[in-house]
Amino acid sequence: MNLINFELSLEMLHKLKAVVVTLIVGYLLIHGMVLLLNRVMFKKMSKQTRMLLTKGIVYAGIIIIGLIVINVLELKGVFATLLGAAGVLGIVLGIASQTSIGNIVSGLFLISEKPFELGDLIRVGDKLGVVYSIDLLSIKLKTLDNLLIRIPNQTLISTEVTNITKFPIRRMDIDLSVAYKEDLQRVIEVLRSIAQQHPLCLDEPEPLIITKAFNESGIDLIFGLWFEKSNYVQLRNGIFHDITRRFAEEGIEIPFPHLSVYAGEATKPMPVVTRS
Amino acid sequence: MIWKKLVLEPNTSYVWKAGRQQVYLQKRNKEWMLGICQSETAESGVVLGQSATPSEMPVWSSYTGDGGNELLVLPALPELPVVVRPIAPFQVLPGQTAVLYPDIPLTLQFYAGSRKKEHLIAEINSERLSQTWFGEPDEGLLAYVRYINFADAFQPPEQAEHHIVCPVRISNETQHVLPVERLLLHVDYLTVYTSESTLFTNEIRIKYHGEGQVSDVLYASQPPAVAKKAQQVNAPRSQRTHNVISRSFHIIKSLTQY
Repeated sequence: MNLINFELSLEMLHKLKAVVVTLIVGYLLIHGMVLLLNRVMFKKMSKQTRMLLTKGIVYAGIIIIGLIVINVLELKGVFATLLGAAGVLGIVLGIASQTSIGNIVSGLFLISEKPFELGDLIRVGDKLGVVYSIDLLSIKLKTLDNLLIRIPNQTLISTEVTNITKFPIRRMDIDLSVAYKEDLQRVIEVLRSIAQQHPLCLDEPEPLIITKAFNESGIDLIFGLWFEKSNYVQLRNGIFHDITRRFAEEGIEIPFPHLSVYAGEATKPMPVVTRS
Repeated sequence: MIWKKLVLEPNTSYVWKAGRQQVYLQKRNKEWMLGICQSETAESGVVLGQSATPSEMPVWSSYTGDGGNELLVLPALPELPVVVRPIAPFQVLPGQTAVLYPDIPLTLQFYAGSRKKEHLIAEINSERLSQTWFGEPDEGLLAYVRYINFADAFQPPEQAEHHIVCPVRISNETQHVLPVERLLLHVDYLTVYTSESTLFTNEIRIKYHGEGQVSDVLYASQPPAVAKKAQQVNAPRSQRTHNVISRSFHIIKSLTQY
């Protein structure tokens, strides 16, 4: 009896050894393959394709290693029994993993549709961030203030996604208002010259200048400037400075609401003195 | 040939003036110090000289060196392509050839010690050029833009020290007038030559075969004929492949086609 037990445990030990060796060799092979591909092929690929291929290799490798382990441990019988019970288990698992499967399927649709890539700045609902990772069940966004947001793939499929950095150039629309006394033609010329003089403002496509509406305090305009997408912050800071400086130099008034303060019902409005 | 070789004495400031840009240079122990200032007025050319402390503090950058005090300064073309646009409308008549000499503000390349790629410590544009987009908003090329009066560009400029003259030969091989609205110059394929204090590039030859047809663009391998005693001072940034074909014209559709 002891001899049989000893033989069994010895056999088990051999199997365990084989499993450990399989796991180590498998791990090394998967990582070796990813490293090799990184050096040979991946350099020319986009971040997104690289990530998808790497994950594909890792997942396929794990499945193969799992099957080898089952084979080594001779768990085919157990596996077959499990499969027999899979009918009931399948229903239970199916109900339990409905959302996850939905997310995986949505993820596949997203990958094929490719509305964004790793590194793109996107807006999903009210969330704005850079695509940090695209996973089986969700994507992760890194917000501009360095927070991580996980958005399930299913949500992405059913929500409007705005890709801000998809195209190489963008337009920045600035809402402006000038006083009614101003000559609109001169204002437009000054705005054109501001755009021309800013080196990051693209010469073409031409800046868009539209007179929008007669408002309570002044005439509203839209000043749209085209720029290379990476220059957003630099241009935004620079152009506001340029507009205020040039308007002041040209004597163009930017109107703002005025408030009269009364000390009481019976008194006159408080006098206001304008100093130049 | 080295364009300018500077030997900097330790703890002494030098200033390099090119257009509105003023580059302050210093050697401190093993470090190179480079500071950039914008001046109100453009200098007529590249001026080199010892200088006291600048009136306006430049933005300094420091680079480690190998202890040598030689700095090589080479003229180069900008890192982006350049779109040349005429101030006034310009047309090439059918079967005619026009040779233009637009000038492009030069970029200064500073090399520590020797002219090796890894010794390039800074590149400074002598003029801030505005950017433009060549193509459609969803696909195209970022470039610098330069407005030229083509009427003045039929002869190479006599004095253009902080500019590089880029000869462009346009042949209209069609039976229609060719209105040139903008020219895209892939300056990274161009070699820089010096000739009697003027800097030139090799000639770009463009053959226009008609609307919808691909234009031939050829980059000459020799210095232009106008550059006598030309000597190469800088190599192209990129090695071109044969038969570089590029969209170099943007044709205004004639009113009859609308």
